[in-house]
Amino acid sequence: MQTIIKLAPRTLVPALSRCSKHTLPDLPYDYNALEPIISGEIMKLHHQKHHATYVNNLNVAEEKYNDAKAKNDLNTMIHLQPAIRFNGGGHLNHSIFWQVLCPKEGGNQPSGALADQIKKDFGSFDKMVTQLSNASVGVQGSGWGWLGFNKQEQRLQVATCSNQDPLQATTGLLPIFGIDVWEHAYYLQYKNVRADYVKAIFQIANWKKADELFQKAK
Amino acid sequence: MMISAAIVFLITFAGVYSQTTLTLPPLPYAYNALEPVLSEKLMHLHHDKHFFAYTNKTNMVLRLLCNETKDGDKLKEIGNLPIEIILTRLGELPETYALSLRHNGGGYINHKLFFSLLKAPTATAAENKPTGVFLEALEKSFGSFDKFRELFSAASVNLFGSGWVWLYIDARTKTLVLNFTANQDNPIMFDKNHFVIMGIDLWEHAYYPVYENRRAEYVENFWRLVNWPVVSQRYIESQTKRSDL
Repeated sequence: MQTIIKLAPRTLVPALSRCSKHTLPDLPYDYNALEPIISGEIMKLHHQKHHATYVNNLNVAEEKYNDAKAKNDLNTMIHLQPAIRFNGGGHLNHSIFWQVLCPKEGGNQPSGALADQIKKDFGSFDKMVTQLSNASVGVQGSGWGWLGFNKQEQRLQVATCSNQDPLQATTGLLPIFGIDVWEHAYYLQYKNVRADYVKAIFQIANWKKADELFQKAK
Repeated sequence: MMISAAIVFLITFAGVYSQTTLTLPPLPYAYNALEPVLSEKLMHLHHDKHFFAYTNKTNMVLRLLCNETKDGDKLKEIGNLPIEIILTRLGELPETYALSLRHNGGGYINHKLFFSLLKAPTATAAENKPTGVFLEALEKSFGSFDKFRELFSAASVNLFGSGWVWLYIDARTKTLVLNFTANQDNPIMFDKNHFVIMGIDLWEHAYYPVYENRRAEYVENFWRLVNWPVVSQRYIESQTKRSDL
């Protein structure tokens, strides 16, 4: 438990930054394209509110950071790091997430190099799904479940991160496929039954994109 | 008739004291009593699904703990203590028990407290204020009630991820302190003598059906719900050094 030493009232209302570096990426599909697995209502909120807020707050934090750096104000730089980690991570994570989802396709499984690697590292696709699902459902509080690639050991691994900690910065693993298990990702539709959401999300996994990420990671 | 009633009473009484079965406390008000700040639908979900799940899972873990033969009777003994005591002794438990009880047992006591601190909303936040000894204590620690509310709200809005913001009596300094915990952690897990006065649930499930991502709006309206007489009573109890939590 950390002590709140000083709290000036701060709002998270995004300020318009003159030199915005980060922008909210468009979804590669319509808001309702992932129905019935993820509702259009959730997709809209998730993209236009949650992800957009991460982007805005990241820009604000970075601008403040750059100002502090210019003045050699190390205290302020350090003070801003949690906000950069949180909002930057949120931006990174969600940018990947939209890419690794796609409208539902029948018989959705990876093929090619990724499929072979999954078989090699987990025994079978189903075993990987079980491991990733259990890990994702088991995240306490807010966080993400990931299938990541360990470049040093040249193998795939399941990992989880809390809050918006980005996979690569936190674990060194390169993201291949991820599941957002913050409540905002599923609550309006699945309520408290995270397990149903995690089970269903494999129906909209974009394994082609995951394979691309895997090829690049290798 | 009288004898069987007595037996039922004794079983119930003994059941309460063995503390291996937590019960889900009903809300002290109707599900729609907190409208429009927290909807009936939200209260049903929060109480009947989330709080219910924490209760069940804690009971499951406690049942296992009470049958645990490792370490002789030590783990069984701990398992038979009240949950509020067990949560101050998580360090004595094997990791799997500690983690599960921290999350589910924490969820149980946090929600038990939280729901007890709410009441039908006032029309505005400004008109809902504490009085008496507790108000004086807040003024002493924070300068003014408004300042306390400002700090508590800022902490709540700025918390990253899932967790709680708490007002509690610090075990060492004996003063009123504001702090936060992640996930379902409770201040007593860090020091058994911290005395929690009030808290706010900042998990998304606590506000999403009504406020979606607008946590600041939820926090603003939370002040209309705080049952100050109940909160004040907790403060008064803390000063008389009673340890009922």
